[in-house]
Amino acid sequence: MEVVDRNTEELLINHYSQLLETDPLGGLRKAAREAFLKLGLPAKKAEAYKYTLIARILGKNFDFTALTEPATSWKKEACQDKFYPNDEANHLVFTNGLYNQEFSKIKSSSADLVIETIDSQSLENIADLKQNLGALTDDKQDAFAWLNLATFSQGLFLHSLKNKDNLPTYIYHFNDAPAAAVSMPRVLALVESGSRLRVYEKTFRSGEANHLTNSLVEVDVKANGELRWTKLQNQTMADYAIEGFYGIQERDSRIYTNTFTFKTALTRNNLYLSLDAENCETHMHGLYHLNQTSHVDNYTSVDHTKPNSFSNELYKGIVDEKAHAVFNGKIYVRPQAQKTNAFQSNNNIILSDDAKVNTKPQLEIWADDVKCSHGCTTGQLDEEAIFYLRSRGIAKQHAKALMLNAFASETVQEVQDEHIRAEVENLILNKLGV
Amino acid sequence: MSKDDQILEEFTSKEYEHGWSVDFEADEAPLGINEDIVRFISTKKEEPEWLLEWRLKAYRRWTEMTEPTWPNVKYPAINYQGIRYYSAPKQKKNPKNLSEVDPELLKTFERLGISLQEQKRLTGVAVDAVIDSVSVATTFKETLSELGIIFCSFSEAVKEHPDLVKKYLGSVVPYNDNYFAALNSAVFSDGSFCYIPKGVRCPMELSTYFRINAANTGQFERTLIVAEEASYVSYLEGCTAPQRDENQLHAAVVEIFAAKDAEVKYSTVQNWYPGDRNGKGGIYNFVTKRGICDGDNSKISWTQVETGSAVTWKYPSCILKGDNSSGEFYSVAVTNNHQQADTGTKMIHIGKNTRSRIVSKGISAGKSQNSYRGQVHILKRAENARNFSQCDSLLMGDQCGAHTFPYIDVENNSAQVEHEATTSKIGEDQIFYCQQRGIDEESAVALIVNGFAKEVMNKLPMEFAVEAQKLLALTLEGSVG
Repeated sequence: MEVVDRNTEELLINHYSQLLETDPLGGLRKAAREAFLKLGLPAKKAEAYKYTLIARILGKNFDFTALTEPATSWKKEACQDKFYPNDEANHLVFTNGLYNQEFSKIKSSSADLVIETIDSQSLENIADLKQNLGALTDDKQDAFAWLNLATFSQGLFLHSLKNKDNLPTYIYHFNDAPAAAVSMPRVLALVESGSRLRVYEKTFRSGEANHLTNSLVEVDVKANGELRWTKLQNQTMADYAIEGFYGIQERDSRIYTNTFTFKTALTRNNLYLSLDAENCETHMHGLYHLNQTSHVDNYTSVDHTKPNSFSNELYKGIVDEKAHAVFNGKIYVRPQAQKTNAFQSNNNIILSDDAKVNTKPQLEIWADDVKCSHGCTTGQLDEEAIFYLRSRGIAKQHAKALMLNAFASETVQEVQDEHIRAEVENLILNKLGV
Repeated sequence: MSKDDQILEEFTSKEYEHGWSVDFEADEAPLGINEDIVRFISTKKEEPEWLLEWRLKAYRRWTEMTEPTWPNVKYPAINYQGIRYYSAPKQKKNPKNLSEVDPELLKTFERLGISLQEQKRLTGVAVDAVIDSVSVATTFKETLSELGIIFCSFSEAVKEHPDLVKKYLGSVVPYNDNYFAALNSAVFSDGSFCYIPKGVRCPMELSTYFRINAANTGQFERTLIVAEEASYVSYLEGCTAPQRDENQLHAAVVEIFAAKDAEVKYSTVQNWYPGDRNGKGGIYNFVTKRGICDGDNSKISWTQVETGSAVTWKYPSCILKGDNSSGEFYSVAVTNNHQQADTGTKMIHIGKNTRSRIVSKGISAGKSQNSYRGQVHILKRAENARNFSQCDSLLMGDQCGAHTFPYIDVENNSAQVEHEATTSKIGEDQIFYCQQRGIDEESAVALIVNGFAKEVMNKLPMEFAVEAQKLLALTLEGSVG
């Protein structure tokens, strides 16, 4: 990556520079800041951002000199009103990218699930936290991960203790943007051996101005652990997001991710999973259902480093109006990762003349005894199927909606939480206009 | 695995069959490249002023460009000043017929198994042979010219059909297209030119053989095929090179122009010297091939069997500009030992109802790396475009790699694009099944590989299919991983 706009990078860093001085996270931040400045925002020709000219978009929509206000418009009650009606769960709140313990409702006992703010104090006291923070983003060469590390404050640490089946955990982000603002939420989740953690993430906003979220999630799932992580991205045309998700898996562990994207000005999801032991299982599902001028770029990378693991990836997209969807799926099988099974599929339906889809399913295979396949399709609804439905007296609009709903539902079935699933189903139906 | 390894060992130690060289008296340019060399080549070829200008323009552009680093291949930096850009076997000027061609040369072709005489008599394939950049003999010229077909060496075409050359040269691959195309445009020494007039169906396969003979030489040939309205031609290309310790550069350009209703079928069996089993020597094969379906209902079909070269960098592409035009790409790329291949295609859909089909089969053995890199781009006005791509990889040996980099860019909602890829090894149960029926392991592997590649092999013209199948078996037999 070359540096395109040194100015933007300096502005971003300087905006948060007061943190550097007051916060003893300093050492870590300093290194991250240097790494960020060295890498620079992805340049125009950067392969990983080929279809998302991110530096240009950010430069155009954000004046980084003006950002200083912390979130003020969200009050505790207003936030808690938005919680899903689930009492047997933890509801955790971020306001403008800062974890807000006061607004959160925690049900789990700390003997099952440790929920802590990441700050200089907890970093000193909790060895697991200190050891794991930033450990997974080191070699990924992504500037946004470094930017988050250099500038985040009050992150969230989730530690699911050994052999515990934990309550569902909802994470809500409340952003206010009276003027263009940037937030940098960060979550570190450790899932100890034999335990299970389910996390659901959602964002709200107030204010009309542009908001940029550069979030980062790091997860480490130990032997036989299970993690499910669902992201619901349904915001406004003033929301810009770069969401990083970095995971590493140990023996016999399982990770399930679900990413639903409905409305956004720009969302870039960076999903990096490393299957770092035998017999790991990973399922990645995604759905993007876009209209207006939404731009979504799903970048996923699955790294099989040890033998006998399994990964399965399915991303589906419905792209309407002037939306632009990008999918880049990378499966990497290292020489020693024999007997790997890896599957990847990306299906798109384009509904309008101005919509655009770029997809790049990529396989890099260095081991011979593997079964890997990928497929991708881009097309439109089957005219004959529509005709069939219409000939049975179903209006065209409904016939279309029926088919699209069926197309999308494969990914929705994967969500275990009924509240989220119902919400996603509703969102799809609303978008389809029925 | 030890038995497999043994067999692999045996077969990979098989020598490169075409690894001999012959001492011709050659007419050479000094090593290196500069404007004088470009002028030297142009003068040698007695070229008109405009072509020299074009070459110089390309050379100047080339000096400003940088070598691409994005392909998934690794090789030591090329010293462009250590290459000889022109080396012609000495011969009497303009041989009228085969009897006047240097007998050494003819012997060379006989050793290659493409005796021009024999070809002429038996197979009815018209051959244009290019050694060290210079076209030495073209057969069947008269028969072809009766139909108005022009099939001759590039330098001859420059002299005799300057208008045609001027019109189409660089029209598909411009001189500034990419690093290697620019280099080729500056120093190309010869190649083939083929022109099929309106409504003519070329009655025989046209064929070119390329061979690099002299040491330290690069081969930069240029092929230009123009198919006028409603014409048809099937074109074959084959290549070999002697065994040498140092790497040699081959940077060719192929341009195809298909007018309305025309059809061009281009088949390649590439068997440049791949280097020895330790990865020493071998050809760097950096080739730009592109065709344009300019007129409605035109069709271009690329078929390639890539078994040679140390490093291959090659993307035969189709620009589907005319409505209802179609492009096809069938490829088998086999890599063994330390070979590296980064190959694939580009299908650019511009016209309405355009169709393309990509079938790519990669087979990697030994320590080789085999990549498919392709792009399917459906532009906004390409209504009802249709593409199907299939890229399968077969792995043999635990130290090789197979990679797929497909780019699928769709800007039209009526387009239908499908892509699928699989990577796997030859199943033990498949081999077991064959062995059970008394087929030994080597034959079983050959059988399975041939079956794997069959879809592509079937697209090759008869003359080539036999050779290609032999080549495939030779490169791979027994390399079970």
